[in-house]
Amino acid sequence: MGNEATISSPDGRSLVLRPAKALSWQDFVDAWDYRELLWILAVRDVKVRYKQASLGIAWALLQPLTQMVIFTVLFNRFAGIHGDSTVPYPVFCLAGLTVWSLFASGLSLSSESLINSSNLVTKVYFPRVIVPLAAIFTAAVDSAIAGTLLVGLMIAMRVPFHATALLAIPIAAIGGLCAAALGLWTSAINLQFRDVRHALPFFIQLLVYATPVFYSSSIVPERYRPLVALNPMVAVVNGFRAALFGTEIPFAKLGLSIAFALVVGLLGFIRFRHLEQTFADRI
Amino acid sequence: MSAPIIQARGLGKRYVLQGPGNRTLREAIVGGLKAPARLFSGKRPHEEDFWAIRDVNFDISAGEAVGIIGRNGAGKSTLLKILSRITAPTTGEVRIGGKVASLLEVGTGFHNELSGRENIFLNGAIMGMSRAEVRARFDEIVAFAEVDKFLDTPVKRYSSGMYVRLAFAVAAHLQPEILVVDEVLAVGDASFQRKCLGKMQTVASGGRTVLFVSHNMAAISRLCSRAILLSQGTVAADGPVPKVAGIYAGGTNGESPTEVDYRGRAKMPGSEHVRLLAARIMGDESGSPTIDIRRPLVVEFDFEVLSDRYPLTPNFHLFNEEGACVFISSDGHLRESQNPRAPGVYRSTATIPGNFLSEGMFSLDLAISTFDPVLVHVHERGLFSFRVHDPGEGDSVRGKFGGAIPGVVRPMLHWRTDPVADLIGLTAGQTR
Repeated sequence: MGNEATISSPDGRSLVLRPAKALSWQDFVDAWDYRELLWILAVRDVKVRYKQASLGIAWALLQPLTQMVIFTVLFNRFAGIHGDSTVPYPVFCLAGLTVWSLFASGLSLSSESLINSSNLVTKVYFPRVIVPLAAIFTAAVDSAIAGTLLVGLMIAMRVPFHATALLAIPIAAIGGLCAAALGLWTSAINLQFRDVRHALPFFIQLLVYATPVFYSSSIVPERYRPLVALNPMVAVVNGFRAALFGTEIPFAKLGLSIAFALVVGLLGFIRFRHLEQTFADRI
Repeated sequence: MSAPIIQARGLGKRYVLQGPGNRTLREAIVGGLKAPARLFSGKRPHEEDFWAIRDVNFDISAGEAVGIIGRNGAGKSTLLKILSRITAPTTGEVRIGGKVASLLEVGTGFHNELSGRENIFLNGAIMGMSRAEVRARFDEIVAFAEVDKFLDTPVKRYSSGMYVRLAFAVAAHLQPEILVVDEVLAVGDASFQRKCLGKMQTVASGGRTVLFVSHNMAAISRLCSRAILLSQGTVAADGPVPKVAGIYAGGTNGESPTEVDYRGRAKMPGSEHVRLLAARIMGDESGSPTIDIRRPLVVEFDFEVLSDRYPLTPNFHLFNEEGACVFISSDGHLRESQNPRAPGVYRSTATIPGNFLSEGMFSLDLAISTFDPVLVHVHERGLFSFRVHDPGEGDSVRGKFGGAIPGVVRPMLHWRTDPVADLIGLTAGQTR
């Protein structure tokens, strides 16, 4: 730009708005500056979700409970699918559902999050990446509520608690990380191609069969296992159960899941940052 | 002048009509397959460009209050969206030296199900305030919004007035270096509008920068010293408010003259009986087409009577910005005007008193007519246009009121208010 005049800036911060910026360190700083908004948006969504419903918070319990009952009856009793020999099938299944729902509802909430926040995106500036990330936290609150159901069921069915059970929480967080990484892609692409809104529930439904949510990884034939291992949620679900039930935690595979989430997430953020500039024009 | 706090250079924003925004995945795939063909044709299918703004340049200094005006579709909203970082420019750049808070809408992010209290924190966070900052100003915000009794009521039960008050209150307490305000003041009752304008004035006089976008020239002129006129996406004028307002109202020709002299022109307006030599309006001594609402405006015309066949009545028609005729005035009530005048040069002067017209733009037609029989010898349409401006110093009809005042005229009538000692006794039906 020809004449670079200086800008007066009372607090020493200045900003240049220009077309098509690439992802820079500043984007991470901006997102960090708005971390309170992340929390507030997540809290808002949780409050609103249950304020409008007459059953309120019970919905967060009812959903995994019903799914667990159906899976138990259908797959365990009728089809004879067994989980782990160590715990009763309902506990096995609910544990899988709890961590799976964090991923599944996190991904679907974050995919729709930008479209649902159009009133914000078109009216005020903040790092847009806050929106899909906040959706993950909303899903996490739901899963935490479902987690209390799981604890209750474990007590009721006399499943012993192991010291490693506390590790289940960070392992579940890896599932949230995977959802966030994919959510950065889907939420941005959803604005461009509304096809995402149709394709994604379908994709999530397929993925639940490719993840050992209501069955054990051990029933998968040996030669298909490398293929199954490509799904980062396999290690998360298995690791979650292992921590909870005191079996061997697959740390190496969890490490790969984290690596998957970081790589996909970073690439997603780059893509997101690129598309972000036209979000307001696309909604 | 100090270094600018906002500097825009070559700013442009292109929208693609019927482009990728509403393109489906199928079209994208098909388009992708056709991409090699596109390399040769150099054309993208189904795309039409539209430049909402183009090559916009300006500098704004810290502490300035700048109004941005323009008709619908002039690019005001796009410019605001770029300055508020909602959308990125297609070309050019803007340098901004401070925190920007924008109020493009009232109650951005407000959620109907949440209470006033919850929404204050939510809205504050969305506008970039920390929880601690909101908490520190919480009482001030509540007091400004006058909603203390309803703090824990969901905002869906608020009246629209309360909603707007709360929303503006949060924004007004942001304390950014740069405040960008869209026409949100169009809502809310008059006293609240005044409060908002007052708040924005203190923001501006506190050394912070205010950008105010409005169609309402009167509001802009009370708040801003400078205005930028956008027209078809480019800066059509940039300067002191009165000058830009004149251009905005005048449409094309820019500043309206305050004097027209026909002498020496090949064709002077008139008939075989009279011709117009010159005309002028005189308000402020500066000769600007902006008139202080409190001061009289003198309309003066020089004409030459060529024959004494008809009585000739000089007159003028005054129109406001809606095109309504405010009044017609002539010297027809004068005895001399009802009889033919002897040939010669005359000067007619009429004075429109101060504290009589309302604020806004006016245009003036000047005529010389005969009323019996009806003959129009001279009729110069839209000869002058001028703006009546109220600086709002408290001694006009406006007094201390800051909002919009309706009315075609705004006369200062003779008022008296005296104490009446025994009025209560009288209304109670008692006699002395």
